[in-house]
Formats: sequence, structure tokens, C-alpha cells
Amino acid sequence: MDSKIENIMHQDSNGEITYNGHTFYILYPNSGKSIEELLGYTAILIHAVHSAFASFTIQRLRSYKDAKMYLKPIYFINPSIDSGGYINSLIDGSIFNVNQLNSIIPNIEEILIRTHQLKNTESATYEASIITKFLTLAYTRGRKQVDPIPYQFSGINYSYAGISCNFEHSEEQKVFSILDKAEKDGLIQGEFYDKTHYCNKCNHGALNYRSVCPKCSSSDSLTQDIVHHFPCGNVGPISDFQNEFDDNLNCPKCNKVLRHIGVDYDKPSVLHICRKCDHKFQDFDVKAKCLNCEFDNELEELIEKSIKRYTITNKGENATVFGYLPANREIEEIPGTIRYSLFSNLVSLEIERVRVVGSKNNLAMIYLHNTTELVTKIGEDRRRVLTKEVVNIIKKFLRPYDLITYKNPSLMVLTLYDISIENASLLLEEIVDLLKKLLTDNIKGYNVLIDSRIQPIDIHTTYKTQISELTVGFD
Amino acid sequence: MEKFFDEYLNFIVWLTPNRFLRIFWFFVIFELCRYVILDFFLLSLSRITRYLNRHKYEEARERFLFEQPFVSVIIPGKNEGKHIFKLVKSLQAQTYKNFETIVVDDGSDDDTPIIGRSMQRAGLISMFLRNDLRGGKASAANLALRFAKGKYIVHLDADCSFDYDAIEQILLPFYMDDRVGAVGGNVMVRNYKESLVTTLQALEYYDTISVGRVISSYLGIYRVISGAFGAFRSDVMDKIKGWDIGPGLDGDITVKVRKAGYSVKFAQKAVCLTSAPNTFRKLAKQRMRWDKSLVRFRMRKHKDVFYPNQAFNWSNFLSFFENILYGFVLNFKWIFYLIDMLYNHFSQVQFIILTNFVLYVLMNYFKFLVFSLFRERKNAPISYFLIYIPCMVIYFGYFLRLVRLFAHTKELLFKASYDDPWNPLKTSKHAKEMGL
Repeated sequence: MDSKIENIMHQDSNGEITYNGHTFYILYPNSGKSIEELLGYTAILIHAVHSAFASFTIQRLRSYKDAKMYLKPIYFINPSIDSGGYINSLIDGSIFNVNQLNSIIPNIEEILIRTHQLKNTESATYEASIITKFLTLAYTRGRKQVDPIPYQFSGINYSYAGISCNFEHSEEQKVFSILDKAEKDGLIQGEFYDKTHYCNKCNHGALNYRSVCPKCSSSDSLTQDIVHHFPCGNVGPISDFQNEFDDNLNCPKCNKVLRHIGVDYDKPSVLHICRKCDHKFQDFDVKAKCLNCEFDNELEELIEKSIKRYTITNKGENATVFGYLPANREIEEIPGTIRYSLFSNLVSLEIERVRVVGSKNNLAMIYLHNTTELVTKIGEDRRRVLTKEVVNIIKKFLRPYDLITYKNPSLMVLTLYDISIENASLLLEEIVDLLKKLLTDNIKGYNVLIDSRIQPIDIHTTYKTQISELTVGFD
Repeated sequence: MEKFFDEYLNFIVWLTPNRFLRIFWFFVIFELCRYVILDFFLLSLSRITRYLNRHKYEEARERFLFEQPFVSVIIPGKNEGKHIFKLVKSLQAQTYKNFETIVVDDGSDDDTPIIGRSMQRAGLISMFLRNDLRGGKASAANLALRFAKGKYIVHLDADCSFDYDAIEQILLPFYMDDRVGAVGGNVMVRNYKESLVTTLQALEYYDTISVGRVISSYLGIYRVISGAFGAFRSDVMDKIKGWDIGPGLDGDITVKVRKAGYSVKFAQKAVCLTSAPNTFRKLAKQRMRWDKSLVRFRMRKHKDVFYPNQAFNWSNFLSFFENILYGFVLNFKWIFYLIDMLYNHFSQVQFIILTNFVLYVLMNYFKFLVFSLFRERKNAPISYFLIYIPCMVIYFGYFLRLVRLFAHTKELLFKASYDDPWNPLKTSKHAKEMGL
């Protein structure tokens, strides 16, 4: 070990390293740390001797909901093999041992500086949060262009750093709609890169193109030459001309030996004989068998998609730094809710008003876990419809002048004015129960997990402090 | 002109029965007796026989419908893709349904492979086979035959369409007589209105096919099953090992079936419509091919029919004899007649030609109108053809005779059929070497 490094580096037995003012954590397969416990480190070093563990871990960290994690500098340490383009696009580099930490410090500091430049990484919708993740990850790594990377484990054959890791392979088609939306909003500009095909049944991209019997779709067949004997005009598969005794070809019609191809006979075509159904044919059908759902696709039925490489536009860069505004616009579109900034102003004013006239006002939050799973299960469009329904239901429990806002797609904040904290708590419980029932009934197999909190509005504390206390751990 | 008519009148008056016979012996013996009187007699006989055998026909039909034999319809051809869809639609409308359709593309250089494959994929045809290298019609037909599964093989040309019961009708003769090895269909001209030449061919087909083949079939000397529409027993085809190299393979396969000991029948009610050549040039080319095959197959390849110690039997002998006599010998006899007239009656030649023309026109009208009574199925009104009948004298008497004469001479002297591009040189070369 370099003596200089030895002097300033401290490594404890738990895998924590302090070096040059930064804290690192080496993540081993059996480290047992939760992601939340890793949030405090400057950078993570994934022990990558086991490539499967390394691939899984990096995707998990980059798909984490909190920007503090998904933007964190992450490196492989001691990688046994090259994990390939896509996994490499998720890490910030590799080192072989801790002695090389010095080499990655400038890169880490660059990422940190760029991360600190980001004013807002929050988003009001699931789609917006993924777009934000995509943009911020590229921005903090100094990338203006994001290329699709062929990835054998991808459900759509190509993966994009910052987006694809958020989806199960079977759900990766959503990557396209999200990128399309970002392109439509002018944040990125797409350029044709490749064309690829997906299963018509499950949208998966792992396809086995096979030549099959046009009758029974079996790929088990025997191919024979067709032989044409010129002198007598006899035509048939070569087996008709073969005999058991020698390699000569004998014409079964005129008993002559076929001597010279092109002179007294030729092979004008071939014939395939299906070993399964004995069908004889000359032209195979080509089918694409999905390796995910085993559905045998006709080629013309395959879903064709253009794969693009994306360049982040100036507008996209602004949105990266200052927050993705279209997300807020969408929340506005939900009847009965108001933008979070307006909500903050109105509650601040209410605090002032109550300070003068006095009243029993409360501030509550409802947090829906597994929003990603929800979107995966029902899609973004249905989620919006469901959100409107949720808001309508909640409105029925509230007074007309109570306010509702979404701070992010999972976190709803609302006021319960002119009601005691006890009654407000009961009311909130009732709302949460109803929401649980609504979601359970409407989405099969979805594990509904809702947290809620309520607290009276304190006239002596600022709104900002009160909202932080209310949403701590969920924001 | 007045003088000409006076002289012509004198010529007519001068014609006593003896002189008439002396001068118009060719017409009386070889046309009137053979093609009017004998044909009328035989047609009447065949109709009476058919009436007497009507119960046999019904029984055969019942047996056929009960058995529902599987039939293979084979359609070999080159560059026929544009016709296949129409043909298949015509086949789909058949009363008889238990058949497979095998289309063989013999090295087409148009869109036939694309059309054939897509029709196979759509389930409109059972099998589409393509030889990238052209091998000739015989090889294409043999390829289809190799994969045909039917008890009967129906051979079609792609540019044909069929009456709704044509398949049923062409198969019935097999059920009327176990010795029947092959049956020919009744081919009519679909495009008879397209041009003068197609109209004349329609008239010719009425005469030589719809009437002539009824008679030859009745006499057991039916000699050419048209490639446009013919049916064969599969076991017979296995025995004779399919088609040999063309051109003229239709007549050749018929002879092969006959020589194998089977009879060949004509099914008048099995009607097929085909497109005839629409210019005299195309027609001459087609007939040259057909006429050359008479010399090649009947006088060379199958000459053993004439030798008592070889493949002789009376019906084959008569079939060949009649064909060679009328198709070949008398064609040359016609020249002798011309020489006879020029030498012996030179001063009256113009009147003889005119009288011959009138006689032929009258004969053709008589034949057309009277024989129409024996035709059960007409694809055009009789009245349409009436004004064209005088043209048949030129068409039959001069055009076709000249073409035939030219074709026979070429084949006799130069074996020209082996150079016909209708068949690929690679196969014709071997056929020539082997005398096939």
C-alpha cells in the first residue's frame, strides 16, 4: 500500500472506508445493509467478484426512488469479468483494490459538484420521476447523449442507463412510452439507432427465429434435392434415385444411371419433409418463438419498434437542474388538487390567519408505497384515472375549503380545517381504510401499503418546518 | 364480270354428276363422306348408345358419389401466376370437393413464385412446388405427379376455367368402365369474341373437339387428351411412369395409356374454357408445334403400333391410321388434287375454286347447324358464328393446311420439334439422341 494513502485512509472491519474526506462503503454479497443505511456514504464500492451479485446490486441501487441513492457515485471493486456495456453504463468506474481510490476521487467530486447543482429532483408523477432520474443521472455524469445498449437480459433487447433498471424485464416496454413523452416535451431529441421486434403476446424481445413447417410449425424437417433426369423427364426427390448398393443415382423411370449433373440431370429445387406431420414443402415459414412466453409469432405480427439514441436538449438540461415542470402541470390536471407551491402559500396564509382568529386546523399526509409496482401493474393511464377517483373519494370526507396536493406521486398532503385532532385522526383512518379497499378491489395482486400521519397546525412554527416534520421518512 | 358469270353458269350446266365427281372428288370423298355423312351417322349412333346406356351412367354417378375418391388436380406451367387465382376460384366452385390442388412452377421469371406461395399460405392451393431451373412441361407435370396423393390425377392448364361440374363429369367415365385409363375434357374457346382468329378457333373446337372427339371416343380411337383438361388413373400413371418430353406430350401420354392396354374416353359434359391464341401468328406457332408432334410421336416414337409383332392392337392401329391418313397423307393429297386440277382442268380452275368454296361453305353451314343439335353445352349463341362460317373455308382449307404442311415437312426433314424452344434444349437434346 502506498504510504501516503495509508496515512489518510481508514478502513474498518465493516467495509467502511474514510479517505480524503469522503466515506466509502464496500458492499459485499453478505453485507446485510439496507439501501437506506447506505444513503450517508459519499460513494459505494460494490465488491464485484460475483458478477451476478454486482449486476443485481447496481441495478437495485440505481432504481432506488431517492435521488440521494440513484445519483450516488458507485464503483465496482475487484471485478472478475467485464459485466458488459449496460451494467458498465450504470457504474461510474472500476477499481481493483482500495489502493486505487485516489484515481476515482476527481470523478467522485465532479459527480458531487454536478449533483449539488440540481435544484429539484422531485417529481409529481411516476413518469416524471423516471424522466428526472434519466436526465439527472446523465447530467451528473456529464453525458449529453444516451445510447441504447444491447443487453441480453433486457426484455426489449436494448437498455438505457437510468431508465431500464426501474422495470422488470417483462415490463420494459414502458421505457418507450416514457422516452416518447420526454421527447414530446422537448427534453431529449431522438435519432434512429436500430429497429427491433417484440413478441405480439407479451412484448418481450427475446425471440428465436425459426424455419418451420408451414402446416404444423415444427422445426424438425429433412431436406432433399429434387432431381430432374433429362432424357425421360422424370422428376422426384433424390431418394427416388438412390439405391442400397452403391452411390450411383439410378432413374426409376428409365433405369439409366445419372452420370453428369448439368448434362443428363440437374437439381432444379429442394424439398423439405416435415418429420412431425410428413408435410412436403419447398418454402419454410419463418416464425419467431418468444423465449419469454413461448408464443410462436408470425413475423408480420411482431411488434416493430425503432430504437433511438437520445441527446439531451437545452430545455432538458434546464429541466434537469431546475426540476421537471410538466410533472406539476399533470397534477394540476387532477380535479380537486392544487399545485404544491400554491398549497404551501395557502397553508402559510392560513397559519397567519389562525394566529389572529384562532381555530383547530390540521395537516395530514397519506403515503402510498409501491407506486412503481402500481404503475407496472395498471399502467400510467389507469393510474391517473385511479388518482382522480382517490381524490374524489377524499374530497367527500373534507370540507369544501380543505386543500389537497401531491408533493410527489406517492405522497399526498391535505388540510383538515376546523376539526379537532382526535376527530381528524379518525377521519384520516377512515379515508385510509377506504383507499386500501379501493386499491385492493381494483388491482389484483397488488400489495397495498399505505402510511398516514396527522398533526395539528402549530401557529408558532413555520409551514416549512411543520411539513418537514409531517413527511419525514416519506419525502 | 358479266362475262365471268355467264361462263360460270355454263360451267355449272356443264357439270353432269360424273363430271362433278371427277372434278370435286376430293370434296365428295374426303370431306362430304368422311366429315358429314359418316360423322352424322356416328354421332347419331353414339347418341342412341348413350340413351340406351343412361342407367349405366346413373349407376356410375351413384358409385362415384358414394366412393368420393380423392383427386389430385395438377397444374404445371411457366409464368402462369396471373391465371392461378381465377383458376382456383373456378375449382372452388366445383360440385365435387374432395381434391387437392398442386401447382408446379417450371422456372417462371415473373411473379408466379410470389403468387403461388401466397396462395399456398392462404390455403387456396394444397401444394406449390417450384423448380428454379426450367425443365419443361413434362418434368413439371411429373413433379406434381410424384407428390399427388389422389386416386385420379386431373391435369389442367392454368389459363383455363371450368363448368361447375367439370371435375365430376370428367371422372364419371372411370366408373362406367373399369378399362378406362384416361378421360379427356371438352375444351371450348373462352375468348371467342376477342378477334377473328379466336372466333374461327371456337368454330374449329366445336367441330373437332365437341363433335370429332365424341365420335373418336365412340369408335375407341380417341387419340389426344388435351393438356388443358384431362383425367388419368393414378395406378395407370404409375405404370406408364408419367409424361415424356414434349412438345406434343398430350398426344404422347394418350398413346402411352392406350398402349398400356387401357381405353381412353372423351367426356363431352366436362367443359373447360380456355384462351385461344388471338393472332394468326401465335396460332400458326401453336399449330406448328402440335402438327410436328404428329410426325414425331405417331410416326417415329410410337411406330411400333403398326408392327403386329410389337405393340399392335386394332384400336390403336385405327387411331393412328385415321390420324396419319387425315392429318398427314391427305394433307399432301390436297396438293395432288391441286396439281390434278391445274393439269387437267386448267381453263376451269377459277370456276372450280369458286365452286369448291361454295360447296365447303354450304357443308360448313350444314355441319354447324345440324351438329349443333348434338352439342349439349354451348358457350356462345349459334347466331354469333353464322356470319363467320364462310371464313372457315379459308381457315381450314388453306391456313391450317398450309401450316400443317409446313410443320410436317420441317419435322420429316429436319426433326424441327427437338429445336422448339417450348421445351428446354437440355432435355430435347437427349430426346433427339434417343429417338423419343
